[in-house]
Amino acid sequence: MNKAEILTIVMNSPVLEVARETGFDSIELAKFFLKLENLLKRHIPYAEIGDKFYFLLALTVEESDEEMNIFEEDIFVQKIKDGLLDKDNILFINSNGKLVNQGQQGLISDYVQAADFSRDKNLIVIFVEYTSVHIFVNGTPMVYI
Amino acid sequence: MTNSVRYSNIRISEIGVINESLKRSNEILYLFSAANGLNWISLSKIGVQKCLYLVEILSPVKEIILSFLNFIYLHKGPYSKDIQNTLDYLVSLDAIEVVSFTISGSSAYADYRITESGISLVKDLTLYPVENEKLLWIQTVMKVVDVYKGSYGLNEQYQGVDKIIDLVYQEPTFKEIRLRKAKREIIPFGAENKLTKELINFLQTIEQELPDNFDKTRYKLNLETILLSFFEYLYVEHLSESQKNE
Repeated sequence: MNKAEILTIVMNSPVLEVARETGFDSIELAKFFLKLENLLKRHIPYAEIGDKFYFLLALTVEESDEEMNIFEEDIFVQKIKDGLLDKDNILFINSNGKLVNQGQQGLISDYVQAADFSRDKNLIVIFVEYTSVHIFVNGTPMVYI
Repeated sequence: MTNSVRYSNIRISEIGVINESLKRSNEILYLFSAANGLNWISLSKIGVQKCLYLVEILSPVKEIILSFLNFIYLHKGPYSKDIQNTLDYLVSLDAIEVVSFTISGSSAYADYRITESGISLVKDLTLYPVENEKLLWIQTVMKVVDVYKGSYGLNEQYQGVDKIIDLVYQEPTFKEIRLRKAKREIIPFGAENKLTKELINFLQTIEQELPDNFDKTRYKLNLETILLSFFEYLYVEHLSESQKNE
């Protein structure tokens, strides 16, 4: 048994970290995280993103008004493949993968607005800016990739 | 009298003096009930074996006592012939049903799912707190299995839950036997199972390993996070071993 490795997992696991911070159901978080990790590693050119990320946030603005599940929608994967992520593209997702309707939230186009939104709405927000992914929990930046 | 009713009567009338065989039947039925709750279409023979192995070997986390199963090391991971016999028994009682069956070479592959009468049986059985606790435990482990079964980098030759074979291969007790290539060796459980127990104990008290300047209460793991950390460890070990073999 590699104790150092286990200690690292427990101290640095993004899932455990978010669960500690938010009190969210850790198994639901893990499910979401691993599905997303799987999706990213299979489809995104910059998939070598290491172990420390929680959620992905990425969608074109025109589609972000629609209800969709990022794990089920081919169009989402296609957008990733096509590299159509930019700083104006943002979406909010719940731990079940369902999108929060951005049309009701107004456009968020930068890092600071994303942080504010996360704090105001008490949401985990993931903001994708080209190859950088910013994650906020209650307005606090958690991880950058 | 239908088979399922007969089975139900046996269970209820003998609940106080339940024998190993019936306990095992109940637990396998709970496994199928949990799979059904997760919307899995079916469970394969391989999947049942691996899930039950994990449920059993992780039972010290919950300090729950399950029926005793003898697992041995075979090529496709831990295997217990008692499980297969019990599956056949449950099929004969109409508590589970065969969804598909194929033969390839010397191997037979079958997928099973719980039936309506099986679901009804689980409802009756879990009126007993001890049985309900077992169901809850199995449901929790299966939820974590459900999380990890789709992880990136698991063996593509398997489908669905069968993919957790790769994680079971990394389970410390099984891994030690696998690395010794001790085929057909019995996998120790309970007090004799020192390696897995050591890992579980470590996770249960992991906050004590942290330097003094850490808020130890913050890092204390609960049942779910112990299971997640355990599986994450298996996953990391699997990725590491795969990388070495490339």
